[in-house]
Amino acid sequence: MTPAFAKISKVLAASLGITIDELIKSFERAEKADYSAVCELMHLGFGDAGNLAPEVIAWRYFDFSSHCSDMFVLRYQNQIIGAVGAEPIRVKLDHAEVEGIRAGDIVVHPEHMRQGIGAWMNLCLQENFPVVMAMGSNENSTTMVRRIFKPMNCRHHLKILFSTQRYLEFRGWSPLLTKAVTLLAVLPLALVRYVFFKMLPRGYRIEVVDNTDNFPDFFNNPDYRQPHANIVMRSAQYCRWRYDLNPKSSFKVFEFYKKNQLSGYAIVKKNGREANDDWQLMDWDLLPSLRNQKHLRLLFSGVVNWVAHQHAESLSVMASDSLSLESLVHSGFSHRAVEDGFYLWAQPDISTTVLDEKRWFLTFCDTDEAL
Amino acid sequence: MPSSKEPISTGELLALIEQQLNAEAGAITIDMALADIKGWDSMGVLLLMAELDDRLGMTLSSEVLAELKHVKDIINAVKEAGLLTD
Repeated sequence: MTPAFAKISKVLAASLGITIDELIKSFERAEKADYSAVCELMHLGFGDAGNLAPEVIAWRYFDFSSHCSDMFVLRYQNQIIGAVGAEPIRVKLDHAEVEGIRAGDIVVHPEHMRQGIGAWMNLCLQENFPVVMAMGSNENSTTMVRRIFKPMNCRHHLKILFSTQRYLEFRGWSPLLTKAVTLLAVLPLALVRYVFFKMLPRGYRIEVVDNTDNFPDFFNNPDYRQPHANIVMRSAQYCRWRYDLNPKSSFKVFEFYKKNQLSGYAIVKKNGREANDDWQLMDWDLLPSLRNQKHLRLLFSGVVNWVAHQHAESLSVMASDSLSLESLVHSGFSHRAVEDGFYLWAQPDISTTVLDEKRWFLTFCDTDEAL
Repeated sequence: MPSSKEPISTGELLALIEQQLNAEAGAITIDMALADIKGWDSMGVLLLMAELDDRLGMTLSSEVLAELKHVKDIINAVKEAGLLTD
């Protein structure tokens, strides 16, 4: 136990009237039997948030057999007073792979709020994992997270418009004017896409499918583990859990082939129910040898072209690393906004590499809680 | 709670609170609501508790913490522990 954590634990334990040992032992991995109590606690803490409906909590945090979801709870006087939903992660650094944890939803029982429990649970994760990733989901938690973690790459919102109708309606344009401008804009928008479109060269192809069944071919390729950038590694098992078994959203999977070898992928989600709603580019990657602007543009062009043909209104994405960002801009996406990104902590012996923003290759899926 | 450490003045306590809650010097006043102080978050509470323990040997129980609404409540808690000089 580090001296700083021992000091913090001492005062929290004293305030709860228990010993440090009792406090440390009280924070542990949840069991299946804790599911109802955690649902109740999250309901108390977050209300009826769609991301935390009971079936989403069951999939996201209690599907222990998937090895993709995790939940830690703090027990006190026979009840759960704090919980941290998490995802085990494996971070690829230059020549090393490090186990870590991504802290997701964190909740403290209302009767125990402002007692330091939320911060202590985060610090406890830092005591137990060499790398901890976090997100600040609201103003209060962001302040706390900023004190414990290092703020990392900003998130850039980008969008490509396929139709101006919703865009203008949202801004209060009259229906007649909206219709006229929308019709007039069809050609310029198509021209913009044409200018940025990158035709797949011979030997390349993109397949659009509904599941990640072929992903073992990508993740089991030895090239996937070659040194390139800092990434949160995926696995076929993770993608199956995250996308195929996701109870909240459905996804389209873009398989990127080079010489008939699955060499990359992109995942796209439709945000609304109607055909012409916004779509969201969630996740993307290429084998390290192809992780460059040329190949990312080919992949993104394929995605843009396919989504445009679904009569979508727009395609949005959040990007956090310069390679993805530049490739998206060169694929026709325009910049909309910038906001805080994700947060990291790493143990001292690897912190220089882990906390170097420029080394990271990140996708929307890495830096946001959106499901 | 009895303590072997030296009591402090209200001014020193306010400075200590400002330091732990990441506020600028002079930014926190006795009548301020804690909810209005940006640094009064989970980590701020822990750091303040640790500093009170270090400097004054004083523990804030979870019951006392739950009742803290204003800066003056912290000062009163320290005063009741006999650790304030003024």
